Amino acid sequence: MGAPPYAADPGPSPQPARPAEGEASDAIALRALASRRASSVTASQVTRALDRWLVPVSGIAALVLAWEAAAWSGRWTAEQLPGPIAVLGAGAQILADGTLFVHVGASLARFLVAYALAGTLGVTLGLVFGWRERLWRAFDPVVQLLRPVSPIAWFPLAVLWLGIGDVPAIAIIFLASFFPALLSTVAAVRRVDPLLLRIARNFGSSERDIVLKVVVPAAFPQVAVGLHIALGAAWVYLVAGEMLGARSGLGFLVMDARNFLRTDLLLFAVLVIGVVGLALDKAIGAAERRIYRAWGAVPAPGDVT
Amino acid sequence: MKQARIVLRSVEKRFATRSGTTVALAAVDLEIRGGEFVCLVGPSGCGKSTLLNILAGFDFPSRGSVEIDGAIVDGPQRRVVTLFQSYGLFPWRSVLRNVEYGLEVSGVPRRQRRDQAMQCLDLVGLSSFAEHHPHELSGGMQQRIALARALAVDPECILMDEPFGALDAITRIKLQEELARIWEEKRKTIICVTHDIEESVFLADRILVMATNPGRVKTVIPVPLPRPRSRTSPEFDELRRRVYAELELVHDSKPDFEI
Repeated sequence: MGAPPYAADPGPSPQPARPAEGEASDAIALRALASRRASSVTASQVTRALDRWLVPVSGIAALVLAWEAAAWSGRWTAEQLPGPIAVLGAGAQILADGTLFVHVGASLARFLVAYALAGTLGVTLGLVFGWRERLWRAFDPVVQLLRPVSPIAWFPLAVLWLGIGDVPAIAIIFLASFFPALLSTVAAVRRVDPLLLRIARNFGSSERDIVLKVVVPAAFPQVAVGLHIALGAAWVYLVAGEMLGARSGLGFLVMDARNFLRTDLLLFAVLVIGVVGLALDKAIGAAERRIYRAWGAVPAPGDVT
Repeated sequence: MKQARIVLRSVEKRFATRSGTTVALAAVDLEIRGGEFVCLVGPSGCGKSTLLNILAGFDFPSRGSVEIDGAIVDGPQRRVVTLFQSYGLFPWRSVLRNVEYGLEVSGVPRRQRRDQAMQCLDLVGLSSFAEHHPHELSGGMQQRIALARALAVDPECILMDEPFGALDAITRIKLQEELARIWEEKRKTIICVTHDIEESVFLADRILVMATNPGRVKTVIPVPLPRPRSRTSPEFDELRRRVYAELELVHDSKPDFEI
């Protein structure tokens, strides 16, 4: 995001007046710091913009150049390693005939169904388990036993029980994202400041009110972090899940391209998986930061506004 | 407006430890009048926080009983609200919604609880911060919000556990003055644990000086000074000296150590 044009502002900017007491509030100090930064000269703004955009882009540019060089070196055939231009060509093809959107759409639909199920169930069960210490002690061993099992290990049974197509794919994505959602919610509930619970009890809150009005909101920022992790896991296993006989989706696209030795298309599919995954991650990251701000919590590391 | 009369009958608290039982509190008999302001001072380990927790219903005596207005305390209750040193505001709620909390969970309609909460915010001078969030406010302001939140449910008694302990000296003095003013207006029974001797002389009708091993009430010092009190008067000084003496913190001429 570009800095607002404060460049004309000469000298130190006035500190925002605030009817606070003698003790310095962190918010005031932060705001003063921010306005001081914003009032620096244009040259540094340019450098900052370059710094912001050029540095990350240069990494990708280097990768593309190395890729192109490798493709041109003649060590590998065009089928083994198609160059960036060939890959973009393949992409343009499926973009033009609309198949790309069909696959991205199918993948997103499966992803959303599985992720919503895992998130809802994981967070709900997490609240119950986190709140009822005894119940968690009973189920913790079960969860600890199942959690380290890669969803891929369930592939044969997923097909045996659920057939092929959408359902096993959704089941695999669900398995991948359920445990992070569940475990982070349990941890979040157990970490709620006991002082807040004490105060809630002091005011005569019913247990229902304590859970809904105190535990849930107090745990929410950390639950959001868990949902972020769950989202990453869900996307990673989406591709694997779609290899279980699905007839559409990005995972299917990869398998289909392999079957026809279309490595250019395959690499393009890989790129799309990366880009969509990144977009989803950024979207939930933004939501997370909003939650943090609304909750008055410390912003997550790397939060630059 | 009801005020709690508190009666403690040989209240005792023991903890089982590896080396046997520790007596945290030995046979406290005490009566606190309705509308009285009592401060508990004493060294750490004298059981003053234990006593406060028992009054609040967060903890229970091993022996003896606590009655507030003739009813035995058997758990936390809305008519006895505790203020903590670390405020305990709900960070996700605005200042106003924090103050409303107690009314909200007792089913007071939105309109009415909003009005009541605003009145309490007015009382602590922070109604213009109603829509702020706690993290935007200083520590002193946060404790005033916590006081407003307690006052909003119109309790009979307010317990305070070192309420100003985390604040700087000047803010602390300002808040003590504000608390004294609010107490005179509302006349709630207040029991306040403090480490600050001057604070106890400034605020209390009676100071309970506590001692350790076992934790007990050692002396009760009445503070008959007229209000508002001046911290610089000779009478104030005399009482402060007395509390110091009771806490064995006065070294007149003879040193309490030998070389």
